[in-house]
Amino acid sequence: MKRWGIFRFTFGEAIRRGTLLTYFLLGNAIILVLLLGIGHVPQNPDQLTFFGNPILTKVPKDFDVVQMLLAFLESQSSFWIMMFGVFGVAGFMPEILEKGSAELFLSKPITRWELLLFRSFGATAGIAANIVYFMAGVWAVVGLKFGVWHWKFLASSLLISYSFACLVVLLFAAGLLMRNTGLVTMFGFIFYVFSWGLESRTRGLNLLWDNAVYHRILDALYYLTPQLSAMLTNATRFVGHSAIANPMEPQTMNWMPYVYSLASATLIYLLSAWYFYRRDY
Amino acid sequence: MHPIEIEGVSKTYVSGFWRRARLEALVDISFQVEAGTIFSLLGPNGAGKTTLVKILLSVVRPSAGAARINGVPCSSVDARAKSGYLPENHRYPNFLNGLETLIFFGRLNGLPASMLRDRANQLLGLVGLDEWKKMKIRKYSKGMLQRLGLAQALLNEPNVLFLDEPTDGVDPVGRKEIRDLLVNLKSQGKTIFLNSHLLSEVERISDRVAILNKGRIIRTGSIPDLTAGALIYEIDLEGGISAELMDRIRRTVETAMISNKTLTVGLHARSELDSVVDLLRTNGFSIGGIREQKLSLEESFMQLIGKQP
Repeated sequence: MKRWGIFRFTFGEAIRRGTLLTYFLLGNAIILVLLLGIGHVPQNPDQLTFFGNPILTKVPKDFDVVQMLLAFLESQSSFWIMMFGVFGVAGFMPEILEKGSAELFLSKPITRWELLLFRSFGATAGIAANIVYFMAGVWAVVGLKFGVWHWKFLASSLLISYSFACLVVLLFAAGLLMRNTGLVTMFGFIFYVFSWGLESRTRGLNLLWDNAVYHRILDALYYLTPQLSAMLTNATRFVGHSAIANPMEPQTMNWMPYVYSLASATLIYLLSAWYFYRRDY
Repeated sequence: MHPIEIEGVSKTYVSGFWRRARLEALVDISFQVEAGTIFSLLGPNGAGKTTLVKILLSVVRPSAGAARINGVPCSSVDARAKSGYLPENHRYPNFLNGLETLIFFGRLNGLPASMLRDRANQLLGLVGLDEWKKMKIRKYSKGMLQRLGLAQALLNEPNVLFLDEPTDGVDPVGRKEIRDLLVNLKSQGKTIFLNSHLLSEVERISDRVAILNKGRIIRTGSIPDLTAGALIYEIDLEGGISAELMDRIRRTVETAMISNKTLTVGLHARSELDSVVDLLRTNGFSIGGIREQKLSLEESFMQLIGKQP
């Protein structure tokens, strides 16, 4: 009951946040526009139209145009949910640790590790509800319009939610340490950008300084933190099209970033719970 | 077993980058609180009152010593299962309304789903917020938030209730209602631990008081214990008193003054009163009455704090 209480409260808080309500409204608008505007030329199923105007006119032969559209929408969805999501949940730990609030929560008969864990589950569920709703809407529109019921597109919403769950663990850890919503938000965005740099470090960051220790530090950071960019790239690959993925990367689906990220998120959670247990409020 | 037992509790805050700055917030605090009583902790700002309550509720960890609530170590979740807490300057999730807030905190207290709504409604009625229960709490006044906080602290039918400035921001009528509620809870056998700056209110309802200053308990006792012992007496006389006799009285006692046929004397020891009476009687005065002048709790508190280095 207590765990359910924290989960439900945080979920409610997440879906009522202004940033996530904005995402929800924008998502509905996009679904509506797709419903009204997207189509294809009757004589040529590979030629998509948007309100009657042809789009994606130079489609290579081996690309399925609907699949390509879905991959594009998936990558955009994951990018925007990360942006809105960081804004939406960055304040979740700092806010309950403010003076006058911390006493209320911590004086209840619930342990701190439960509070941390079920609050992160609630925050993730709030984001997952938004992304699954939006992608299910797009999936249904594309299915109705083109007869393509692409289940992997729908399932990729779960991969994006999983990626966000790993990010939430990191944001909550930062929230415990910094206790400042603005700083945690900045940290979230910096980490999001930095994760792309870490993933492609062999072609970028490593070249900045030819030093073995520096390279090892980057490797350690890559494996000790959730591999956000790798998970999102693989979610796009999972949808099944390589057209918008980086041509320099292997195009096969790789599940290992999800496994490594689970391990690193677990470690970060355990360290956060230990820190939370030790702190006075 | 006492509902609240504190043994040698100390708290030192360490701060700074090198963790060298040390602040002793509490030093070797020990006392017990009897069941079914109202116990008040008094002290100036920064004395350590809130830190002590936070230690009892496991919000802050003690540096040394131990405390038990209902016989259970205060760090245990079980110790908090039957205690309620109204913190000072509490902040509630402002996207909820009053009813939702109580239902949420009821869940955190582990109340069964079947009784959550009934219990929340009952408490909202008790604290006079029934009419406002569907209003978002961001629109609540300070007094309404205080009432909501009190309802929140009572959700789990606690044996021990910790209240930090419970009447802060509440109007006089509301204060009276809260005082009556606390007395009623006490009559039901609940133990109430009160932190308050409002000494006149504390004086009215408390059974025992502890005065904390600079992290140390400087006095504990009942209200009569704390307000007695000033050794100031008023003696009603039936005639004027000569300057010479006043001089003799002044040499006998610590202080003496006459006003409207009432002689007020401050004594070093109770036995000096007999000497004053003897002097008056031998000089032919008839004594209409003798009254001991009691201190208010505030005066007693100020005296005790003032004596501290």
